[in-house]
Amino acid sequence: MNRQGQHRLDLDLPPAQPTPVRAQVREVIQADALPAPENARELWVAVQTGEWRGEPEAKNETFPAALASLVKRAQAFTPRVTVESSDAVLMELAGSQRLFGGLPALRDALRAAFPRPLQLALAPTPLAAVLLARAQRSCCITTPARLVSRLAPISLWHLHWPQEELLRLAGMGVTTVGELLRLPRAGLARRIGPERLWQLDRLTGARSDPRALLAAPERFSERIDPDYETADRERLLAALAPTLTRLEEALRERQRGVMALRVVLHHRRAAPVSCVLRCVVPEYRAARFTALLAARLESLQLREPVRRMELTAGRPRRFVASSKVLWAPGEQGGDAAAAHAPEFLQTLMARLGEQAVHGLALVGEHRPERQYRSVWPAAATVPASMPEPVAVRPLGLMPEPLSLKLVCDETGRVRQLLHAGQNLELVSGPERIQSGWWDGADVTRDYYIARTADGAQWWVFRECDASRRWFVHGCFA
Amino acid sequence: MSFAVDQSRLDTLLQHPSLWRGRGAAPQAGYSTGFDALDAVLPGGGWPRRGLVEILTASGGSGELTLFGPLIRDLTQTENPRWCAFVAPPFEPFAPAWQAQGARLDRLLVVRTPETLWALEQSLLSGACAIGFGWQDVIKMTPLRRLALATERGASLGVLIRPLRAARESTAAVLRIAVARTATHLRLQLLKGRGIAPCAVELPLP
Repeated sequence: MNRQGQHRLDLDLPPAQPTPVRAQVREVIQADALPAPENARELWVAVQTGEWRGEPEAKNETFPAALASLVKRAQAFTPRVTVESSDAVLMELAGSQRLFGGLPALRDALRAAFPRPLQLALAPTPLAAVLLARAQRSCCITTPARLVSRLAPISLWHLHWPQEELLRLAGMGVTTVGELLRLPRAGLARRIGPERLWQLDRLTGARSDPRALLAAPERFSERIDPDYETADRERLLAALAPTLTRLEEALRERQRGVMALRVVLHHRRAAPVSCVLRCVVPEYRAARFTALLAARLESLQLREPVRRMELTAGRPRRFVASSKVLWAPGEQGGDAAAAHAPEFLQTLMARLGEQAVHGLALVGEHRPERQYRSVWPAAATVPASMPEPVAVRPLGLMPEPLSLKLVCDETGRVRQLLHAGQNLELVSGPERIQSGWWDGADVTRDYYIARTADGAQWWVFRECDASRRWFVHGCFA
Repeated sequence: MSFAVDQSRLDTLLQHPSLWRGRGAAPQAGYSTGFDALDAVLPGGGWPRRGLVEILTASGGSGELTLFGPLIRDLTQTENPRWCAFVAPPFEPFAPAWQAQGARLDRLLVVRTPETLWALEQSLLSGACAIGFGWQDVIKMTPLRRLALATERGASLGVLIRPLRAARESTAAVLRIAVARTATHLRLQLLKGRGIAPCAVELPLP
């Protein structure tokens, strides 16, 4: 007896989290038998598809398309939307009643948004709403007092409990919610476990049922199904235009811009083509996206007509809108050129690819071919320690040293160096550059400045290893 | 006495860029080339602020970019610098050498593409570049005109580096200069320019 009492005491303890204030308030109000104020009450609406395919695996997974579209429609009513299971979407509408002009108008609007095959049920607790919807009782319960009586005739099957538990309860003669709730609480806890009991408490509203709400997806993503299959650039852009306009609206509302945009073009047979646009600064304007896409599509070779497109925008980023200047760039009155720089780079990158455009940065090194690197434009920084320039350096460096043609006499001495058919005369040097023994790409070279007959100057070197080969490495352009 | 005063005032008036004369406007004051001898002979006293310039060389390595070294330094060191673009150069711009010239490296832009004319036109047209360099052995009159128009609209200086044989072709460039290097000097031959007679200039190499 004592043990049983202890057990019962345990069960009455709140679960892991403390009872929210609202639930406590509600309990007090119910104890005092006063009518609950409107705003203290929740009104949950369940939209049920009639298909039960087990629990969703994870909370943050992407939902199947049908459910995702339900969530999107539900978010038009309220931001407080959650997914109960693979068959039902829940929304809390207590705060939206006035916006829609009262409960009857709200119900009409809901019915219009979620037409007939979908089941709708309104109840003060989320679980009750789902249960009523699954039982196809399209009803509207606003007072908690009436909830239990309305739930009573519903079959336990709609709770989606494991089959053996339901069979065991059926063996006890319990098949409806009402029969289950009528059982003594302590015995019920032992039979079905505390978890189930708490679930029943949440169903009737005796225990609060906080829900994690779905946040509207931050990234803009849309699928475009044109009415026609085409490989024509103008038509593809025309098909994309409404989506880009919606993207602009969405970004403008949030005061955000995106740095990247991906359009995947699906063909009937060929593999889908993905084109990614990257912006230098956050961008939101549809016209700009259209221009960039036009440039990219122009250089894209489509093997087949496009059937379907998917547009995904990157993570929205904060950006500072700036006003346009009155003067054209270069005109007297304002040097507005800097404002044009991002658009100019975007245009180049959209058509030529991102690798085609780069800036230059110095690297603290002694080997000439490693003294610079390509960087994202305008990202160049000067390293802390730079080797001081010791001698004249050419303005241009060959991507790879070019081998020089040698003319030797009979004793094997080099008599002439030829570059592009012209005789090279060494005018200054040698300058020894020896470095890199630690990373395996060591060089030991003697650099000279060489001149051709027509005055062109080149930077040439001789390998100091056994090969003694000559190369031209730079151009005094 | 009074005549002399009027004459000098008339001269200053005639030099005003917005005054049109019978033979056209006085050239707009250009960028200083950094070489006094060259500033003295070029129309506008330096490189044009907008327009296409052709530099003809016998081969690479003739000092064709050295000629623009002081200009690039000045353009990238201004308060709000625009880009200096190299469209498909036949070599990699060697960052340490440009740094030694005094150029700001984060304002240099290299474009690698087979579509050189499109990229060059975009660079000159955009207004985001102060100067754009292109290397073209063969170019027809129509693209030349497009480039010249782009420099006008984008308020930029376009520099086309071409072989010497291009001197026989007609051009839409405002300046055409042949460059050769001697041991100590850059030897320039001004072949074409608005309002100048063909002449030769020798510039000391830095």
